[in-house]
Amino acid sequence: MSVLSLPEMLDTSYANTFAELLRNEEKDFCLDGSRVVRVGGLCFQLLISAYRTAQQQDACFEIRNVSDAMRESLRVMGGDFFLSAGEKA
Amino acid sequence: MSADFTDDMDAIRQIFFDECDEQLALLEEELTTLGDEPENGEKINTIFRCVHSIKGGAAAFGMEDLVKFSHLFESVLDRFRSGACSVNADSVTTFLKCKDVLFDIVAAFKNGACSYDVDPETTAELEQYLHSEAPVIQPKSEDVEMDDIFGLSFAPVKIEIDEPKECQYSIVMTVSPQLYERGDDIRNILIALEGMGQSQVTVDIDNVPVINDISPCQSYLTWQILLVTAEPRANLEEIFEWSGDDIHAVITSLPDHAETEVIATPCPVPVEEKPAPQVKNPVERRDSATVRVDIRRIDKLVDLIGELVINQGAIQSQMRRNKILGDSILGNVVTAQEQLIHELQENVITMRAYPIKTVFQKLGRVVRETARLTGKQVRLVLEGEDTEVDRSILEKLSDPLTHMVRNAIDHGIENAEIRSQAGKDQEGLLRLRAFQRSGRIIVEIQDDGAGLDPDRIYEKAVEKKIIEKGQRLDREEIYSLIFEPGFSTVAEVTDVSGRGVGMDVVKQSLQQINGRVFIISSKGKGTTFSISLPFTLSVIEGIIFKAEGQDFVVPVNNVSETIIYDTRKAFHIGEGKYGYPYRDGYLSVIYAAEILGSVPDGKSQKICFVIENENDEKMAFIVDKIIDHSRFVVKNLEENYRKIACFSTATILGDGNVAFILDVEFLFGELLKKRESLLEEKV
Repeated sequence: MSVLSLPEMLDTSYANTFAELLRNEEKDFCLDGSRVVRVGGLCFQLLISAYRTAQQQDACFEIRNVSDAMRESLRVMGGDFFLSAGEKA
Repeated sequence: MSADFTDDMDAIRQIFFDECDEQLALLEEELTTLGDEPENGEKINTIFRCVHSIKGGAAAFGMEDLVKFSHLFESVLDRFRSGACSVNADSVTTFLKCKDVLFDIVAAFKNGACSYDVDPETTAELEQYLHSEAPVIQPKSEDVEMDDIFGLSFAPVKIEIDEPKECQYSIVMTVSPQLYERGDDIRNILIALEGMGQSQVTVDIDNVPVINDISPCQSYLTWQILLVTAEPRANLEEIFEWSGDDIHAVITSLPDHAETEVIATPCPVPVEEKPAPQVKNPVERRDSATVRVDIRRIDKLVDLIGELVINQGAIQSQMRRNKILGDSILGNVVTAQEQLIHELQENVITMRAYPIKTVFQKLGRVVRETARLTGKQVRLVLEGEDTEVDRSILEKLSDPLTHMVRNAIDHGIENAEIRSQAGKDQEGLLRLRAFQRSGRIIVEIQDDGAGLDPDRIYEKAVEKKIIEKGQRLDREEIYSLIFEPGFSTVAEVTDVSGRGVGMDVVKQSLQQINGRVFIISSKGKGTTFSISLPFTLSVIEGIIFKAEGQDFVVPVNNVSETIIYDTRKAFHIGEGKYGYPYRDGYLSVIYAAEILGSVPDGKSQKICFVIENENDEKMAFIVDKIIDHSRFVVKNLEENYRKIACFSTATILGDGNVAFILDVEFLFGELLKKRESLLEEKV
């Protein structure tokens, strides 16, 4: 399973690229959040979309090495549930 | 998307910085007068809104240091809004300092910085207000007899001042994709809400499509926030104001304050229909009476209208050549069109005009800092801030004015001790004034300091070999020596004005914008520097004349009279030098032919312009023929060709020829001076 390393800024300008990268994932979504400094609303939504896709396809969704900043960004936007479901430290 | 997106983001970022400039200007304006009206709650509200707007925008662009400082400033201002603190001279000083810090942080981010370290002293000064005790209102004892005013007795009423009560709100919000397009993010709103109290955020993800169906820039989420806060509801609403119509939020007070309010207008977000909440008192959005336009577009418009004016001249030139009379049908149409173009040109030039306030307000800070560095007390008085000046002039006015203001405080205004000994108020007065006179803008910098010392200036000029010892100069000429390169009467280089920029640079900067500076000074009483500026550099009203077969233009503002030149009345005062009787006196004569290097033949010269300069000095300027009186589009000589003595700029005529525009001050300065002494001797 390949690991998609997330960039520092998951902001609006990265949304299109991020969507493409997620669409290119074969089945499972394995993301590395160690470098992430900020998550914006659109990328947050794409993470949720990937999470829901994985749920529907009975595939795996996980975010490894979530940085503190990423954790904080997700928490602020109401993504706590999503961390506990898809995170692997 | 990336290149276009980056361009868009840069444009939005620029808009944010422009808005910051506006908010900071308003902040300065309100703070400067806050001390005079400490009880004016609306002023504090305006100040709060300025800081809040800057914070909102800064959050959208991730400028965290700016958000952090403006948040602190805003929190302090809120204490003043709520009456927990009262405005006094110290708090106004602190606010002004904070405004300067905000200005610096904005400037740093504008210049590409990613962070800014705020001086901890300023932060600490602000924080003191956060922890200060509420002012205690001591009611008089009830048995104290109250003043009887006009027969009415007043008894004290005890006012209970409670701690702000915590309220619970439910906020349901969706966002439109436009929020992201203009550089904002829902994350910023959620952070701002969290900063107001305890919040619990849940997100409804049911509408989010799977990854292959999702449109990355569409918005599918709905947030529900439960917020417990002691902040007034207005503060909560203000968070959404900056986002305008891009956020649809329903705020409901819980549990017993069942007020519901819709902020902003509904936006087309694909969310499930929810029961319509009760809508009460929707927030009205302010209609803006202005449109923000890129200045380059206006500059382009000015240029195009300039070309239109030249083209209009070409039509008139062809009419003359083809002997089409002005009162013919075509002539009337062309005249009507000329009038319309004239009006169009004036309107567009006005669009490029800015109130001089934008420069004056920046000087407020210069005054504060210079006063602090020199340990002097200075009161700044601004007058005529709404006087409008072309933007191109305004941009170049800031630096020379800054230097002159620094000089006025550093070298002009005395320290408190000396002022007391001289019987003056310990606080020096610096007055900046702008007004219109004779089609020009006058800016005055007036101080009530020591005034210029002509003897000292003269000695220094001799010492610096600017003039020769014994040279006869009148008072004005001595004052103008301070503008000579290398002149400085101050032995000690100070932090304030000894920065390597002399008054000669100030004069040069002003000359670049066709500005002239005059000095009025009285020893012991103060000095006034008066700067005269054109309203615009784009157009000039002038008289076109012929000399030696060529066309030239003289600015109409400098022509006080036009008379028929009678060669017989001219009298010889030296080799090729003439005087001419005028009213009860005599004028020095300069022939237009002379400035072209020719010798006047005494026959072709038929018209005399009585030309005057800013100092009301006059001369007779003799030309061959007057062609027309019109408005001319100014073209910079140095940019298009090179600098030519005697001519300030040039214009393109209707026939396509170039006509040089006379530099009247040069005529007075360089040519006339040589004549004056000869004329005096002769008369």
